[in-house]
Amino acid sequence: MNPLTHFKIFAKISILPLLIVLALVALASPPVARADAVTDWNAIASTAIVTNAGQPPHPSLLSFAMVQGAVYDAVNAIDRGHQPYLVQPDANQTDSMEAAASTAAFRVLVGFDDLPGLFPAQLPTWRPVYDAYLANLPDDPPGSRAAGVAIGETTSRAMLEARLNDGRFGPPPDLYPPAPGIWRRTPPNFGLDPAAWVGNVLPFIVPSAEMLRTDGPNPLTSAAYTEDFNEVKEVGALYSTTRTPDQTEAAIFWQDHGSAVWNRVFRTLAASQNLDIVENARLFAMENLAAADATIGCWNDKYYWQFWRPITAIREADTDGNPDTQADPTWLPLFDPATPVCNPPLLVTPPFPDHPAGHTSGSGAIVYTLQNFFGTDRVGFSAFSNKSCTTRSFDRFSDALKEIIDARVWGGIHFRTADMQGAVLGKKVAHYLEKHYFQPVQ
Amino acid sequence: MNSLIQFKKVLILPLLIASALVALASPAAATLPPGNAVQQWNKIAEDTVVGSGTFQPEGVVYMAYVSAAVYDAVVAIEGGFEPYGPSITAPPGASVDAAVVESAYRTLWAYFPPESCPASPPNVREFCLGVRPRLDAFYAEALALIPDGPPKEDGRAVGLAAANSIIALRSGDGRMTPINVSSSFPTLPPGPGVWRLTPPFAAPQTPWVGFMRPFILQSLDQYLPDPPPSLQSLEWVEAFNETKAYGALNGSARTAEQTFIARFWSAHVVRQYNLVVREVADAHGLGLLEIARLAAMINLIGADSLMATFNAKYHYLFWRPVTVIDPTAVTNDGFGPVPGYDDGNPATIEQMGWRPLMTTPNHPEYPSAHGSITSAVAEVFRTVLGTNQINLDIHGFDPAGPPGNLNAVRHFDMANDLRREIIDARVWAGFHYRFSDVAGVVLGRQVANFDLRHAFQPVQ
Repeated sequence: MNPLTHFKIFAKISILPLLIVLALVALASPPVARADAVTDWNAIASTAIVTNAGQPPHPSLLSFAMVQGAVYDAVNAIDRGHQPYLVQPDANQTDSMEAAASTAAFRVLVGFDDLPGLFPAQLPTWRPVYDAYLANLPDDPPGSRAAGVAIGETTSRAMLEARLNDGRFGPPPDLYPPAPGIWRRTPPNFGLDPAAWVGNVLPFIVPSAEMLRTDGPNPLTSAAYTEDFNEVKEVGALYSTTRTPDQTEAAIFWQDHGSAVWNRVFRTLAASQNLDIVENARLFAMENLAAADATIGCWNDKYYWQFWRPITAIREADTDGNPDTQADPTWLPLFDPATPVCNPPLLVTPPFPDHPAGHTSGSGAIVYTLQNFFGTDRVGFSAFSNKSCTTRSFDRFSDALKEIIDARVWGGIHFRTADMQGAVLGKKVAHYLEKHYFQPVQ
Repeated sequence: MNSLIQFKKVLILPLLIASALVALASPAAATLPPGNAVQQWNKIAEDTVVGSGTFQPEGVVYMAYVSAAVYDAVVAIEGGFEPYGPSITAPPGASVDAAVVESAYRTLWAYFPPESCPASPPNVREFCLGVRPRLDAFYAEALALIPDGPPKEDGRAVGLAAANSIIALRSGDGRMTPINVSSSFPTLPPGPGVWRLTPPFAAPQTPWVGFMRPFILQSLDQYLPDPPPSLQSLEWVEAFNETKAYGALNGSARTAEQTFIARFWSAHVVRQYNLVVREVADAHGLGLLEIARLAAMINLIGADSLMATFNAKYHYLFWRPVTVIDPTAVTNDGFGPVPGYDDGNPATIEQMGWRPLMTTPNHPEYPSAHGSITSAVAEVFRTVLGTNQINLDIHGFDPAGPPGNLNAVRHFDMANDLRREIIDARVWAGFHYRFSDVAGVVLGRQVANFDLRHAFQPVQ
């Protein structure tokens, strides 16, 4: 069964209790975990995008980017400290940033009467939450809240208009004819990519996805391929004897929904680093816009190379023309339904080509942008995974990226080269963003 | 968002009837190209510009002049969008057809005087010298199709005003004549990586295009690409090896299909992309204003993309594959010694006698001009059609046909498919490195996105 469909079913089930919880949170004033409107509405957006709409990681990053881009423009319109992303409407310094941020997020999620948002059907869910949220905001000086609302409406409208006809939900790319090295659907579900169109979406930051083209997978007869092959075959196998329990946990840990995990990390960092609402708006926008473009570039590149997954490569190694790779027709990866997880869906090889790795592309962009934002790699943080139901801690941002690169091999779903080149692709996006966007004014 | 649908083809039927009547009355006069007035004069302009021997970048500049004048003439009467130049007041009822004919005719006539014609080759010179008499004949024939009366005269006055204002606006914009003339440019000290003339050693192609006043961009170095990779980098070695293997005239690694694609893209871009404009107009049932706007977008944005590309080319002055793969493929061009320089990288292996599949264009390598304009055109169609499923048929060169033909057709579902193919095609042709094609594609898209935000906007 397709794990993504699985996830959707799970998501639908969980809407009702969530609504109740949110309603309770809204009533209990002040909310316990409240940081500011940027972090509150990032959490709400995550619920809307991942839990309620059930978007898989790769398309979900585009939704996060739209929300956080509009939130940034709304807060920055009042602060005026940095270049806008799309627009900079007129504002007074006393206008409510909280009202601006929450309105921008709300409107990108549900839209307007004349301009659809991401999830028009969720309007009944979020309308009462938004109204209650606004009602709790101070209106000091009088009129500052309404002014903030107007600013948020302007920036969210600009975002929704900018993303009209941007290629989302378009047709999937053509698949190459079957051949050794070419991707085919993988056991046990033989699923199809639910969002193969991501690679043709208009990028948010970089001018064109072509500039993110990777060097490509190793030739099947090369020594580098042999090395990758033997590594994933051994350490990524379902019952590997060389993978340690901690490595198994790490592999499962990072299979939690990538954009949900990372946005939780950003909220953790916002609190631990004492960021204010202006810094939060910028951090969340930079991170999600970078990750979205890395994902667009990655998916464009995946369907450019259409390289086979380890499970296909190992089972059919007698067709690869490489005498140093031994076939195992029954080989299974760690990411198999037999591996226990604490929340559905069960683990399988993701239903799209191997090269480059989606997780390391997005996480590469995220980690390099974190280093850029904080001006250092040495920030410790912890994260919780709903897939392993464990918490893992890191002393540096780059430690997380290193672990993800390994984790996708330990999971038996990627060759190391796909992980490495994904991280490089993400770094390219981060560098482009650092040079061209979110520049301080003056 | 899609504004293409709202206009109607009201003018076609009377025009067809009029054409039939004229054809009956005087068979010799039935020489106007097919289509409505905008399509006809777009084709006349294309034939004039290409037939007079313009190189591709300067050809697109001439097309931009004409299509800007036609667009401003139509917009003056129909409204709905910002004009390119100063706004022109049109009397009520002015004939759009007359405005189109007058604006195109006047603009072309002004820009193709006999003294601008190239000295050679003889057949091109002869064609160019015949431009004005031919335009006069088309003009007389086209005007005869429009009923006499105040609307016609008002339309002609609008067209004349549009032509005059574009000519005035672009006066002193850096265009140089005669057609094809070379010009001086800042040079770099000779050394590895520096551009040299390539066989058959024609003079540097229209460097002045890179220093013109842009049509919409703020400046031509607004999106100057990062420099090409270092000759000591792995990226350089990979690019060198790919072009050497896949771009060679003889003994290449190309498949027959790859060779066909490389040749397909040798067609003149003025012909390729203006033909697409006319075909899209038919396929989508566009009205005169929308065709005029689309033609202006393609040619003005195309011109900006090529000017910006030439600016970068003559800024970086990066050497062509033939010069570095075969250092003996140089002449006493004033840009360095004979034989030329080694790249100093032990991982690249030179090959005496290596030649590209297609003749190397006589301008610096980085970035690719064809990549730039193709990417810009793809972005225009993506925006105008309101989807990245552009579904375009592009016409190109068929090696089985005569020189300069556009008999082959390739279909592109997505804007990105077009970009992907042009990147490959220029490597397979043997005169570009992959990184230059990518840089060109990125530059063209940046130019188009800026221009589309700063011109041709709808008005209330």
